[in-house]
This record gives sequence, structure tokens and C-alpha cells, in this order.
Amino acid sequence: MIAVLLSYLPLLLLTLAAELAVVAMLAPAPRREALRACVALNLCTHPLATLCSWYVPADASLAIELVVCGFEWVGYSRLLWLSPLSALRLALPANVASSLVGVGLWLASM
Amino acid sequence: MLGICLCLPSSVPDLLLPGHTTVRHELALTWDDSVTTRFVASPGHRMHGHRLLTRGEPFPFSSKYGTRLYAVPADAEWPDAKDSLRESPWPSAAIPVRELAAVRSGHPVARVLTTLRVVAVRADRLELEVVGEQRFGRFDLPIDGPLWLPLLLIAGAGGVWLLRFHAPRRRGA
Repeated sequence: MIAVLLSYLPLLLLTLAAELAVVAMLAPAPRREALRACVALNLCTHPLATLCSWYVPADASLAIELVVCGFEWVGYSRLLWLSPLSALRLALPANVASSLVGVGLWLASM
Repeated sequence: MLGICLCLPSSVPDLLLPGHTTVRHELALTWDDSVTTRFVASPGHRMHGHRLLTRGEPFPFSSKYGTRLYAVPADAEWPDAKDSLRESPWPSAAIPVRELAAVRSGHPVARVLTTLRVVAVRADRLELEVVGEQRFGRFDLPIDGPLWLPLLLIAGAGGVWLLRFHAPRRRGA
């Protein structure tokens, strides 16, 4: 279990760092609640999406990302009592940001 | 967020699809003391030469290049590295496991060690059995138990937090 966590936790922390930064910038007040929601949503979605990514073909990755983004969209809306449009303005940029961080790290490692 | 999972840390881009990382899959061969032949893996990991095996010592192999194990008589001349052993008269066997060469980036498995045992050396073939397989992660830590368990526990904790997200506020109302 320790070996799995050592491999997985850096990915979770990177994702949280990227998404928290975006949510901190874009969230309407109260910002603290939005940050809590971001952590709670990612704790739920990130491990499941990671598990899926291990076992499904690489070309299904975009579909997984869309499902995650959709779940977080609904999550932000319900947890923060935001309108669907306002929630989408949090979920979409946050997930785009974490994806871009991942792609950037991959390009840097090439 | 998946971008982080899939693209970190990918390497050897000429061999790997983006979002994959290499795994070092090794074999260890064991045999009884009564066996007097030498065991050789050929071709080697990168399609070069032959490797004399030491009992229990891990060695790389390649499913792509069709590494086979040969039982070479103790008094036989050591084959030239350029020669293929395919045409040799020595008993041989295909590796009974498929090499795990790559996994998705972010996957915890970094090394796999499969232990094989020589069951019998026949005149025309080697008989092998798979004794076990051990997976290792970062810092060569052994991976025991299901890979999915820690992630499901984290997801469960996140799910509980989501369900109770507004609980303190309701109590205060």
C-alpha cells in the first residue's frame, strides 16, 4: 500500500495545487467554501479517474476527463449553491488547468 | 487532472506511447541441485548475445525479441554472441510469461520479478513452471495487495466528505 501511495499521492497533490489555484482565483465568495469543495470533489474523483486510467485504453482518457469535469460541475453547483453556469466557470477552468500542468510536465520530461 | 496522471513522468518517447512509462520486468530461474546443465537466456534483453544464468539471480528478457531459455550441457562450447541459438540442438523453452514492458504513467508498478523453476530437462525441451510474481513500486518497495485498495479508500473518504459537506451548517441552523 505504501508503494502505491508513494506513486499516487504526488499526482493527487499536483492536481489539487493546480485546481485550488484556479478555484481561488475564480470562485465567488465565500472562497473558503469553494476551496473545501474543490478538495472534497477531487478526493472523490481523482482516485477513481486514476484507477480508470490504469485499466482503460489511452484513447478513453478524454472521456474520463469529461466525466470528471461533469461530476465536478454538478458538485460545485450543489455544494456552493451556484447556478449551472457559475459552477461550470469553476469546474472547466480548474480541470483544464490541471490537464495543462500534466501536459506541460510531460513535455518537460521529453 | 487526468493530464497529470497520464503524462507524468513519461520517458523514452521513441518507444512508448505518450502517457506510458517503462517497467523493468525480470525473471529469476531456479533449479534443483541435481541438474548439471547450464542455463542460458537468448537472445538477451536488447536482442544481443546470450546470458549465462545464475540460480535465482534476476535477468532481463524480451517478449518482443523472443527470448528463450536453453539448457546447455556443461561441456558444450560457449556459443558466439552473434549466433542464434534457435538452430542449436539444446533443449529449450519459451518464456511462459508475457513481458510487461510499459504501464500507464502514474501506475505504481515500476518493476516486476517473475520466478521460474526448471521442472525437467528433456532431450528436446525444457519444462518450466511459474513459481511466483512480485511487483515493486517506487524506491523498489514491494507492492502487496490490490493496487486499487488505497485509491478506493481515498475516494471513499472524499465521498463521505461530500455527503457531509453541509452537515455543520445544518446543525448550526
